Amino acid sequence: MTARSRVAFASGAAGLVGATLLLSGRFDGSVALALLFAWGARVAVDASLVDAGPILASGATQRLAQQASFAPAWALVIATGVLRAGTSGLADLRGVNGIAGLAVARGDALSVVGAWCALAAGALAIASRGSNGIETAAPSGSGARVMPPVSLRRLDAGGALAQAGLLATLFFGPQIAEATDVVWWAAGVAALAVVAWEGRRLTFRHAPAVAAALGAAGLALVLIGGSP
Amino acid sequence: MSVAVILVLVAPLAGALLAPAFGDYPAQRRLVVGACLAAMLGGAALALVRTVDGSPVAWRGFTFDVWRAVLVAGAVFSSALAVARADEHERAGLVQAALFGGTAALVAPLLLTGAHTLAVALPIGTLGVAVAAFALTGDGPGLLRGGRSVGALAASDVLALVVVGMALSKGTRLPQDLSLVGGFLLLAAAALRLGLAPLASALDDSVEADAGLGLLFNGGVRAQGFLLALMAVGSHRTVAYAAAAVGAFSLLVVAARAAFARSAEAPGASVASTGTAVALIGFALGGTPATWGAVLALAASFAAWPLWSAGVPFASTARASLAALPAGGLLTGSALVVVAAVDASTARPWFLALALPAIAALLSIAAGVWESRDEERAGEPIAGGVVAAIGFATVLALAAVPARAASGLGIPVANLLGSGRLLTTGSAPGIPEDLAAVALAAAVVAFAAGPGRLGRGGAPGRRRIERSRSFLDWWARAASAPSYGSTLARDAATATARRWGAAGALLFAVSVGLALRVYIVAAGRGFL
Repeated sequence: MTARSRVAFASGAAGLVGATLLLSGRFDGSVALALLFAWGARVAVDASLVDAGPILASGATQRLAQQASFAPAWALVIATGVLRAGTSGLADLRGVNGIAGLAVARGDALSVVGAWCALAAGALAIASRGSNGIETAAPSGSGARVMPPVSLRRLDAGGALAQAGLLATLFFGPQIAEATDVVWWAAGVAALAVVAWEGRRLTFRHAPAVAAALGAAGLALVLIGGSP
Repeated sequence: MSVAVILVLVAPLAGALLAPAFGDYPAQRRLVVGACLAAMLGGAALALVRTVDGSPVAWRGFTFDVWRAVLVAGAVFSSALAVARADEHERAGLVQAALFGGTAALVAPLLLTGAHTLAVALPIGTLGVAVAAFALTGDGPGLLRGGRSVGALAASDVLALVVVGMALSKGTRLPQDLSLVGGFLLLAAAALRLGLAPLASALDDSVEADAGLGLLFNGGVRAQGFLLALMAVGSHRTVAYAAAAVGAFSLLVVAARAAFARSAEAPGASVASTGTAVALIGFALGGTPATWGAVLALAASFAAWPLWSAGVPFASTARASLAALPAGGLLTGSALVVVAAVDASTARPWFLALALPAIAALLSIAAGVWESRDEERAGEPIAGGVVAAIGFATVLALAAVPARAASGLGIPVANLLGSGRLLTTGSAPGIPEDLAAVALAAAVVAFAAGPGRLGRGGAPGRRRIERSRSFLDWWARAASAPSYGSTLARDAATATARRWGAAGALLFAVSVGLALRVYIVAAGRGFL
């Protein structure tokens, strides 16, 4: 294992911890900072594999480029959520979702549609990720699969959950004051996790462009529709 | 308190004299060069500490304030590594002397507070860079690229001196009260020095010509660019908008290169470009958090490339640590600037034009920086070690206690520069210290107990495509130069370099004439 892999993994773990602490409300911070942390966790998985030998490295390099191509979509998603809520603080965002109503249900019709577009863009960005494993030919002629270590797969899952939590904070996660508020979070994050899990099997070549287009549409609609 | 100024100015001059004197005795030369570098770096560090404390640091006409101390520290840091790299050059003594001289010439304008002295010092700095470029590049394509970068620098001088001349009727004290046209011209001059799209050719050419010359641009020339840029940004709100737009556009270009073009640029260099663009946006925005973030991003951009290079002799850990964007000053600084822009967008959506490119660029660079080509060694022993040690300590401090870094570095500079042109409200702190401590602890544990052996050692030497083209290349990159492969191509490049040299000399003569005019007019009006 190379030093670069270790540093990449350490960066990802630090990013995941930071994102978790911010999203769980232990520290107050900006949604942009949470995005950078969660992004770091997701990217670290492939960064750890870049030096991992020719088989795993080729897939990792492609996935790094794939992740980078989703950057505009994430920027648009964040901008949509922040513009709709009128604030970039995570605590304030949850407060807005609690008081003014969830972005995906309350407010001007155009803003609601815009929030759904941005949510779809974010879900697409979470789900669109090449498989971690690589198919190879076994000596006997049967197929074999080289998988990365389980710790990397866990880090990947953690990063995806952090990104799902970020989407929940932006669009459908209210400040938790009573038990019913938890339902929104649990159901939403679970749904996004299922989408991400199932999305691994699908290959959609133009996903970054579609996600960016959805994010741009969402931002435009929220700009027209305004805050609640 | 004048020791710091004397060290910063005299140590490089001493190095310029002593390095060739010991040219035939490598061991002794290394010792002398190391001592001069240590004195130079020590002077810059001392100036930074004293000015942050609020103590005056001045000697004759040369004055430090905290903003200038940050710039000088960045310039000296990069130059030190450039000198260290030259240790393995076949004419090490002469090349190191040229680099020392170039450093002194580039640093001097940063310490001047009068327009008339700045006017004289800017062309001298360009002359220093020209000498260093000539010494470093030899002949052929390297000379051509070096000549083009020096020519662009001379053009930047002419623009800056025209502006100084235009504003001279209002006195010589900097920053001057500029007209709108003067503000835009000065911004163009600064963008050339900063290497930001659409005027990125000078920096790109210098990087391609020779890494040592690139480091000189990365440090001293960039510092001069920031000095001029802030004068321009402070002159008019429209100029501040333009500066922020330049920063956002540059980020977009860097992101496109990282995501699509797979350019061969070293990660240290692209991190430096990113930090520069983020810092320019932050300074243009103004307001407390954005300025804090800009200062931290600026510090990170100065440190990035020298560290990337200086880390080579130690271990790949050092280089990879630098590439770990989710930590350190650039993350903190970028987060503060981006948050300020995003917050402004909630009130005025046009600020999204700044926030969106910034977020997208930072994300794509954070992904792209891991997949990178390697650089050659940074040069042996003493000097590289000194630079690396200081740099690692700086980055560790920025990464470990970002809020304290903001209070120790960002706040004094923000107080000095005052409120910005576009934003004047807000007081959000940096990343909380306790959050940073927890995240760093997690990183340490993860590093020690990370996943086991992955594969069979990787494929070192895998490189990116050298010069793949993308639709934004023209904006961000210098024109091509003939390859080193054939004698005919080398001769053609040398001939073209002569033409560029003539153009550069003409521009230099114009800038010297303008500088003399400024000085004489200032003297005639009794400003001196």
